[in-house]
Amino acid sequence: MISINNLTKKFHNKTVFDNFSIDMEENNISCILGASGIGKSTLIKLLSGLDRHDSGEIEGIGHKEFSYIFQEPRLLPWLNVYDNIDFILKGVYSDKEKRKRIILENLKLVNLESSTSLFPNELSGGMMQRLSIARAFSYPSKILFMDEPFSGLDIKLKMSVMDSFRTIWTQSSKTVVFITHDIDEAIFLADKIYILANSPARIVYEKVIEEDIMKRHFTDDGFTTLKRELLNVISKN
Amino acid sequence: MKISSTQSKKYKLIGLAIWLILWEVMYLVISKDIYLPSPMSVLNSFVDIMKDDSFFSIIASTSLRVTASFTISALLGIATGFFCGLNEKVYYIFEPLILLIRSTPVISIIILAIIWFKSDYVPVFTGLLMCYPIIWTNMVQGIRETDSKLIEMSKIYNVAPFQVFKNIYLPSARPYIQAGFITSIGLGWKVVAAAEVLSMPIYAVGIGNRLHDSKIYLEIPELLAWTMLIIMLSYLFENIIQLFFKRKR
Repeated sequence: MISINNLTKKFHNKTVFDNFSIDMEENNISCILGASGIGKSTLIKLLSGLDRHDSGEIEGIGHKEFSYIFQEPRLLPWLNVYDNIDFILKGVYSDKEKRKRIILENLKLVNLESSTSLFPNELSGGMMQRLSIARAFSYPSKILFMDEPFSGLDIKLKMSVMDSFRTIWTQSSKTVVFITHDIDEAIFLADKIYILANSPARIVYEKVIEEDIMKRHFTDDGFTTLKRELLNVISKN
Repeated sequence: MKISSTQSKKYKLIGLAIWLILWEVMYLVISKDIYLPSPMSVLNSFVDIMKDDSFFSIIASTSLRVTASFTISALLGIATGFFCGLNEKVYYIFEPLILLIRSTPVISIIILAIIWFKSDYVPVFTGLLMCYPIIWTNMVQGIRETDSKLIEMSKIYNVAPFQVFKNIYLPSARPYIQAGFITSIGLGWKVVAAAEVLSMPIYAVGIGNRLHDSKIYLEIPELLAWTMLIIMLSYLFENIIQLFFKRKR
């Protein structure tokens, strides 16, 4: 369980979080849904240690290794697809063959197994983000942070990348903390959705989604009903 | 208007021909070899100096001095430039030294080096002091321009510092290093030759020694022939560096 207890964070005179608390289940995809500028990115930075909180406690992360999928793919332009993943694994596994096996396995899960020698400038936006997903899953971490990783993609690419994501995630046991402002992404991927609103930010709504992640479709009745429910909460806050 | 590479070669040759004709015309107007020899007499001197038994050892001595001063500058410039680019405090420690070296006239550095060192070391030392600030400045700039998001990513994945240096900082700074290398190798040739003229190395006679002799005996065609040789060698070294960076891409 990842727990945040009474967390406070201020930027100059603005209080982003004041006594903020949340619990997130292990091996689940917890999605923090909220409007832009509400504090979602700040929250994920505090969780991952990229930023420091003023007071409060964060439990369940400690010194655990974690992976991160950013809004932009953050690939090394001078390394090919294979080497972009090998770059982060060299310090973890000294056995070259083992690294090769892990890299190819993960590239296959995101349909990039035939693109190992391509360089980032030869990849489409969707392929680049799939590569950053494969990189995150190749790394032996227990936790994965995702900071709006699908927001820069058009709808068709977004669907294909999210599809790759859920395929690769079901093969792992990573705890995912996923932030987004897109309701569709949240419903499509999350086990539990937390709606973040107000200033200072707080959780105004929680929703567990029971349906198997692999069986979800944008056109399902349940999908539309839940979307309406969430839109209703967001518009009231 | 962009022109093709075949066309650019054609225009280069036309340009060269125009300047050679202008040189010949000026020679005919002045008509005094001691001030300005004809292109033909310089070419003849060039052939003569090539026939000299010591020709290759002279070229080797100066080339070796240029290579030594350039290599030391490159290693020092990259190493110190890296830390100065990363850390502002270290940068401000180095900055006065770099400003001092950059503003000091070359002639003062050569004279001081003549006092401090044996004549054979003066050209290397002078070349080093002239090339180092260029490479340092470019390296600092290159490190500062490195994408901080890639560094953040490498920190998240606990990538070893050496791997970060090799795979993020060096490739990011590469265009700056390349520009620094090309500028400094050209300068290195000029400065090393000048230092040889003034210090007159004893054990390994270089092109500068020959320039000095030509000046003493007023052998102007020979002086220009050696100068041409410096220009050609400098151009060759620049091309070797460019080729190195091309192959590493």
